Amino acid sequence: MDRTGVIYTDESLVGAEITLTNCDREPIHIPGLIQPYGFLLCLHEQTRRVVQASANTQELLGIAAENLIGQGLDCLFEPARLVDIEAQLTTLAEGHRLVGVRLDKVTGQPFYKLILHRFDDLLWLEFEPVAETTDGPLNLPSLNDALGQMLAAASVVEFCAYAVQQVREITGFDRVMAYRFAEDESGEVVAEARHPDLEPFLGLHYPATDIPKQARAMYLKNWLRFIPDVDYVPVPLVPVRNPASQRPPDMTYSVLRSVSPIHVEYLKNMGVGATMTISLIRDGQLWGLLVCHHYAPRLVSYELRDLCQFIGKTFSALLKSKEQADDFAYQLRLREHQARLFGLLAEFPDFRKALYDHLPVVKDVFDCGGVLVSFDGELAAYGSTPTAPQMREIVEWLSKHATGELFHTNSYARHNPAGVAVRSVASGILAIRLDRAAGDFIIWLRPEVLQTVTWAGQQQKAEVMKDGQLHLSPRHSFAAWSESVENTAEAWKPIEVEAAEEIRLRIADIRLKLFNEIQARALQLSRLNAELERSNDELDSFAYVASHDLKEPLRGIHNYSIFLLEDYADKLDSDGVDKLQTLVRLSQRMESLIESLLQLSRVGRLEPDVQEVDLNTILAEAMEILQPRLEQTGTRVTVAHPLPTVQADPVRLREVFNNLLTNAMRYNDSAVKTVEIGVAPAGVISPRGSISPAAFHVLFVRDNGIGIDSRHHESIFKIFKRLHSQDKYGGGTGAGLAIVKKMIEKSGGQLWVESQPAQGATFFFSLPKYTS
Amino acid sequence: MSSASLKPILVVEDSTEDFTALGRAFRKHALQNPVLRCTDGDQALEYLQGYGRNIKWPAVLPAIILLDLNMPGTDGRAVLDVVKHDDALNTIPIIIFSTSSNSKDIEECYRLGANSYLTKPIDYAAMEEKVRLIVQYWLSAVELPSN
Repeated sequence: MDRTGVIYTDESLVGAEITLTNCDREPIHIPGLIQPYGFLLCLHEQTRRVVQASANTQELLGIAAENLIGQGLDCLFEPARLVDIEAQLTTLAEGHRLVGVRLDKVTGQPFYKLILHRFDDLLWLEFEPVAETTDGPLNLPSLNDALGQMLAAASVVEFCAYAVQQVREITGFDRVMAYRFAEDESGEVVAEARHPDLEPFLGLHYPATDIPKQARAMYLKNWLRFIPDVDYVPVPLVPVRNPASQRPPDMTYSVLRSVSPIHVEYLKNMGVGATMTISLIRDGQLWGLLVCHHYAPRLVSYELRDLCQFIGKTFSALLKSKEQADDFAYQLRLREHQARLFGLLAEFPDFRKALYDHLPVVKDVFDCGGVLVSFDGELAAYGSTPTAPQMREIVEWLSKHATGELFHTNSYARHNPAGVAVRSVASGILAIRLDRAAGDFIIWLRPEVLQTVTWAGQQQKAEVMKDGQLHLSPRHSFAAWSESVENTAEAWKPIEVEAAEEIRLRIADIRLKLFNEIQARALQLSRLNAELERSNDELDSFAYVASHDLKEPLRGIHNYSIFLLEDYADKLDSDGVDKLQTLVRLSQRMESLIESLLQLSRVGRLEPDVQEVDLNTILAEAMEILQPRLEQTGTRVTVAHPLPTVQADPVRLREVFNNLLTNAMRYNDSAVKTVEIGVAPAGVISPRGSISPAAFHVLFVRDNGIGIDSRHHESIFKIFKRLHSQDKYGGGTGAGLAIVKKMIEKSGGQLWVESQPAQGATFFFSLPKYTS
Repeated sequence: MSSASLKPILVVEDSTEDFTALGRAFRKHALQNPVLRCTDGDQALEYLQGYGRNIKWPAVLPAIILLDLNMPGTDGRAVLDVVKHDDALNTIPIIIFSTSSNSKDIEECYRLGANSYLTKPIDYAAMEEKVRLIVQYWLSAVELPSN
């Protein structure tokens, strides 16, 4: 016993006038009326007697309906035929059975097609006349071909196209269309086979309300509806209400059921004379309809209708595989495009550049109109996109309102009223966020559906009023549908959202990898630095300890040489004495070398005592110490006052000046020795590149001495490196410049020299500016 | 001649050559006091903390201590630290006589209570001169505690 789970209808409307405002509550399954091209008898299940009959039996059989009530079927048939029918009745259910019958007991013994089913506690006998259209024998080979084509169809749309062609060939209707319902239950004509003179409806959209809910519910149960002449005058049942249930019987499975007047009006407005619709059902859901229109009345035989229903059922059975094929094809294309994008991201070290330089690839990942890529407020766009300021607005809105990593909508204007301005290109938005902090996004845009619909009639205005009545027509439907889908784009498929998320993750991975690489490099650097520092410290400690330990035996050698000279001079010849004296001298030299090494290591080992240092003061102190020697050598020192204040260790800085000034005096053959000290002009460049004038002062010490060949500009700063023999220029240890260099570098600066032989030398050194 | 003249001078020095040179310089300046030598810090502490009990060592404390800093094992810094924290010993003047001219070493020794800090010069003449100054200053010019 079939009972629909949902009751959409209102039985109080039985017999009431149906208008557009109440049509979705019209009880279309119990109209109590039939179409007059055939007649109907409802029998009691047990007694097999007529309970109700259609009022047109008088017209068709010459027997008034009232006279049939209470009768058995023997009033129409011979006993032999009655046995056949009876046999059918016992095993009857909702499904139709067809029996060709001759009404033996009716005048003229006419042939009828008897369609039987059992429903609503009644046995239904519907009699259809033999069709006007002469059906040729069923063309099995062509049907076979047709089914073969349908099976081979690669896409849903192609599949629909074969189905409508086939149905048109079988039935000869002027126009056969395949409707497909969208998520919102609105419909679209996706395939059409029509007489060449007719205007195309292909691409027509109509709102969900065009097919009321209760009709959809009925279409799921009864696969085929047929109106051979829309100008029919409905014929009532006699009596209208079933005596047992006290309501009109449920005609859900009835062939002759009279349809809604609203529907008829719609058809008439379109100029349609006959119509047939076949349900297309997928997974128990109404997926769409095959709709046939004829522009004159047309009676199609039950057998042919049955064949069309067979095609509809075959279509329904195959539909899922076709949709899967569609999905699979789109998935495949999506994966290919995604793979291309991933390839680019892998190929280019800078993924942003990869995206910026290959926007078409980014866009083509999805079926969309355009794409935006935004990094650090920098926008790049490709395809159909709004103006730059509008794009910025979208990015800003997303930064603020799209809280997750991924945002998608098929109606941006629904979220942001300002989106109406960009609806033509950006009703649909699929955005992935690439960075939480910055407004970094990739945004795919989809145009408003209306921009992409191709129906020839869409530009013409719907005639809304006719005699003060709402005038129903496809154009009106389209206008109504258009209104309902304003600011809406085609929805993003789950698989598309998934693919976008994958892209986001891929980019996040790349970012993370880059970040990790940078981290790793930084870690490595700091490790190397620490190692370097440690080895420097070790070297310095080594130099310190070694030099310290070396001094002791050296002192021994020195002292014992002295003791030998003191105690045994009288036993040695002058050569022996000379050798001992040399031993004493060499041990003294070695001691001064060790002392220098100690000094140098001390500079490395001790952290400088950094403070604010006025160079003028420090230089004055150094000069004071050197005063006797300056006078002795006749050296003129000029200082370009005032010198700046720096951040350094004052003791060491004094040492630096002391050293550089001593060298300037020492390596100088000029009659008048001059030394010039000052601040180097801005933009001075060290061997290691330019020096930030914001952070450093650069000073110079210039002499008019013997100069240094550029070959030696580096080596002079190495410990114990001397350019001259010991007996020239006062014979230092060669450690002075190494110590100075280390001091400058320990306080964060650099030391270098500019010089040519015989042209004097200029030593430059940089020191950090004082920061409180 | 002060009362200290009979007390020994303790030299804590691991280097035999350095001790030889020191002895030579003492002799040159006709030092009357006996010279005791410890070759490392442990030995020095054994004598100083165990004097009078340990028959190996003299029963008297030294007048002054000449202490080398860098020695194997217990170094001079440790000896200085222990002696200057020992109520029985902390009045004995300790003269650091070290190779190191490191300001850190110098500072630390004075902080620990050293009474003088001299560096060992390489030049023997300079060394002799320093020894002369030590002997003159510590053993005749100053008044030492009589413990």
